[in-house]
Amino acid sequence: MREAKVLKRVLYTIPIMLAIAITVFIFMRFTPGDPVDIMMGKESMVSQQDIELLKREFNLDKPIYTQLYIFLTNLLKGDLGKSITKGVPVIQLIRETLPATIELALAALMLGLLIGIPIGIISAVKQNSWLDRSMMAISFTGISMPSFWLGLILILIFSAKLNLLPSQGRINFLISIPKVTGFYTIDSLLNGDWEAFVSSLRHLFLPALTLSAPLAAVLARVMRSSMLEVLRNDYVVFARAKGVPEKLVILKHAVRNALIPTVTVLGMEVGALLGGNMIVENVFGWPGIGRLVVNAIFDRDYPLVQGVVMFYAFTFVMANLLVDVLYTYLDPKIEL
Amino acid sequence: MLEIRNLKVIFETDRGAVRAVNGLDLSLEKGKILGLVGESGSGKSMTLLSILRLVPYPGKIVEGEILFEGEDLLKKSPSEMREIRGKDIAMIFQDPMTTLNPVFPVGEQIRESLRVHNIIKPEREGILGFLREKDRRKKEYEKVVELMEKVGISYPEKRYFSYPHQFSGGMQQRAIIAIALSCNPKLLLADEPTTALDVTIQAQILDLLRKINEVNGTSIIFVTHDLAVAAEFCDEIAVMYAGQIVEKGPVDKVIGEPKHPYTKGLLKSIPKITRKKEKLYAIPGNVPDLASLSPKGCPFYERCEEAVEECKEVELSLIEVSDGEFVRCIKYL
Amino acid sequence: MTIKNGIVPAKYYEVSYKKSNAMTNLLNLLGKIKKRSTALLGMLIIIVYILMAIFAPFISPYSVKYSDLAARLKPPVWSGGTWAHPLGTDQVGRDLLTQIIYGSRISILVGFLTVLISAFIGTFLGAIAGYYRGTVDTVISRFADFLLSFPFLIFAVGVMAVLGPGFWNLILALTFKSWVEFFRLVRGEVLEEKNKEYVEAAQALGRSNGAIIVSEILPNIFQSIFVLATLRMGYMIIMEASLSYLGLGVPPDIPTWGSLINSGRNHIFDAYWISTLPGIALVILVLSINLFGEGLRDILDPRLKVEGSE
Repeated sequence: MREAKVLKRVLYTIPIMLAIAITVFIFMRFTPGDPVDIMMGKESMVSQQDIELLKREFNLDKPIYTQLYIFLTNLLKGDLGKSITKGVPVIQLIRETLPATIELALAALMLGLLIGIPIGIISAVKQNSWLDRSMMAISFTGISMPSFWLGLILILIFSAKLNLLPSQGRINFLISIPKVTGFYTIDSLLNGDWEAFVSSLRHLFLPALTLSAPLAAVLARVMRSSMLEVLRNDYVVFARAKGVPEKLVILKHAVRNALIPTVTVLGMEVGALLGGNMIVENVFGWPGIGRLVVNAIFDRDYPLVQGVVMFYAFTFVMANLLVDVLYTYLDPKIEL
Repeated sequence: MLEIRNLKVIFETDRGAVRAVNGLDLSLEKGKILGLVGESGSGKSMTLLSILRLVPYPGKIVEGEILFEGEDLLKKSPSEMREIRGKDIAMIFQDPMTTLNPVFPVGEQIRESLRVHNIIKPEREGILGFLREKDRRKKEYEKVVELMEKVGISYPEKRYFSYPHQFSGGMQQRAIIAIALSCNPKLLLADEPTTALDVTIQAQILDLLRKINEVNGTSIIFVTHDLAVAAEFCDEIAVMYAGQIVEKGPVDKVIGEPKHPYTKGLLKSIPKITRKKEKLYAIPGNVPDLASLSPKGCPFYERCEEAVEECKEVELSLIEVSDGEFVRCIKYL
Repeated sequence: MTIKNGIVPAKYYEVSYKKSNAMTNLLNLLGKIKKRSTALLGMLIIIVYILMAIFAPFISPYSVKYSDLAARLKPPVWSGGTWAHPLGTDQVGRDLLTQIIYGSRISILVGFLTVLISAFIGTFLGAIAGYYRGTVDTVISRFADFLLSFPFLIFAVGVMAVLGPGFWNLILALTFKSWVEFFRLVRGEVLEEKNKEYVEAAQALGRSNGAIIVSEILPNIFQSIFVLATLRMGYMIIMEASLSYLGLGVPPDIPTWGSLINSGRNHIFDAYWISTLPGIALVILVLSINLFGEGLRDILDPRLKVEGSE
């Protein structure tokens, strides 16, 4: 039963992905000038022959539907085209920068959950106490604050004033570690290199905190309000009447129910996390796909922009799929 | 076994203190069924929740004693109280649809009450704790299945893993009763357990409760707004109005010869199945606003058909009119 | 009343608010806002910001184009600067106070316009989809779902990358997706309202569908739209600033808070004020809008849930 529903949900993502791909393709056609013109723009000494050659290479000599067809079939093969400025396949650039992005995003996700959920629970249980009020005031400020500014403030405090943490990069540039997973924190541990591990963790902390701040703020607020809603339910009073210890009433009976709406919001927040990732990577000089795409925009490297934007959208779709599947395990009543 | 003396519960609201329970006296003997009758808002549910000390915030028990087997529950520590809840005193709620936790299988919720009260003790032998836990779980599972069978849930092995929303209302109430019975309580608090159910299911649930009372000797406080049901089901009846008992006594006395004007009114308003088309009787007026109720005088004064001028001023307590029958009315002073 | 421990006496939370005609009780509303100190404070600060944006040329100490390379990186008064530049100057010697005052113009204008346009489009499409259902509904709803599969900022960055910097491009990039929020709200509400007696009565009287939507249904859901619009405005201002920060907003010669913060990035170690002060201006504005919006929500439409920043 559940498996069938999950499968249906998985299949549902296919047309969405296709629509994303086609949209990105169409947007590409809107770009002022075709890739070849942009490429050639800087060098005026090119022959017409070279241009024709390049157009053929980028399939620009073919009719548009053929181009779309080629684009889509290439996409299925994992071919996102070639970067204009770097001359290498886009997928290779993404693959190189992706571990950095994932490491940062996962760290932020973990921080966000670890900060947001407990704050929400505590606030709800201690509703209207000074603790609740101050935590909610902080989280309210958190959602009203752009992450790039928060990042700069953290750099100002922890790097410029206190000189505690580094503000740029992933690891001390003097340290090199062999690549296994691409996550510096894990690779350095696998390598037994304690110094590298500490360095990578120190580099990771500020960007991850910046990226997690809005997530934590939203989660705390949602968790608090759904906890409050859940706590007034009969089954919570009934659990107490059964003699269930208060700790279990909160952490088992109430939290388990309050997580259901929170997970929905988490799904939406993944989008904010991806967008924020782009910003935060630029603030902290974090060599991930967020920095890749912003640089690509200024280089007018459209195949690269298109590839990364598509990649972001696919990731978002997959994340939402994951959240929906998780949802079926949280809420027995759910119909996908 | 249970005696409540001068219980007062107050809700602090923006509009002032609401006296939800206002000097309530009540007693119950072992093995008896007591019907607590009154309109909604008369403080019946709050009385039950007070016994378990689960009055919701901003409500507070401000005065009184609740003696359970000679010990005052209001003086117990929170952890002692927790031990009593579900084990010695169990409670059934009004709406079965909202009483079970929607995200856990029904059987697990029954098992939980066995677990929190250590009904199945972990075995001492066995080398690994893990095995003992598994064994304990199995025994608890068997006990749950037995309980489910006892309350009339068919295919308990299968139903064990069902979620509440896969149960009908009647089945859910049976599961809730199974939870209440799991630790073999001495006292069962039933808060309108049949109100949310169909009439036919109502009768089945009442039968089940009666069987529990007869077989296990469990005392029951049965809260209802339906005097007819109470008359049929209970040994004794206490009628509540505005947070006070206005009349209490053996069922045949209270139903047969009601003394208090409010009880009379309630009895008159029960629709009878006759051929004649009679106009339904209703007690005039509404339940008073507890926040603005004057502390002096009889709270029923405004709606009472037999009221006299003195009712406004009089300080009343329960008056024993015959053996075991009490009434709170100026006429019997 | 205060709700504590999540338990509210039944009669309090079952009270549903009365639907009333839009705009008729603006004074009444102001009276209610006055009682909520945070919402009132938010409203007053918003007004101050709007006045600041309008009268920027009169209150700014310098002209917006003014820069004095000799007075580069001057600190604000509390960090040892002079009153000539109360908030200091940036790396090309522009007066920071002037830049911040002028920067409010873009933030407020973009926030206001994107929300206005989104609300208009979303309400229009939502009303049509909810009222007529059928194919129209399916098509618009699918399209809306599809747009939601892009993270907001990524989508906006993608659009700006294609269109290039520019005020209207910015508005377009931000509006392209944000109407969906209004669409979903209005569609849901219209579906609900459609089956109520007053709509059926109007239909029975032979009024046209368009007239029913505009004069019967919309006034009843106007409050919810208004609350959502307020709550979205803060988010839009943050998005605008984010795009400006990345250099993907309005052309660089127009001062915005986002681009000011970006320009101070490389001076965070030696001239902290260039980045921090415009950010504080931004945070105070967004915070005020959100406080005001939350207050409005509590007053007008307690059921409306706007959670999450996507």
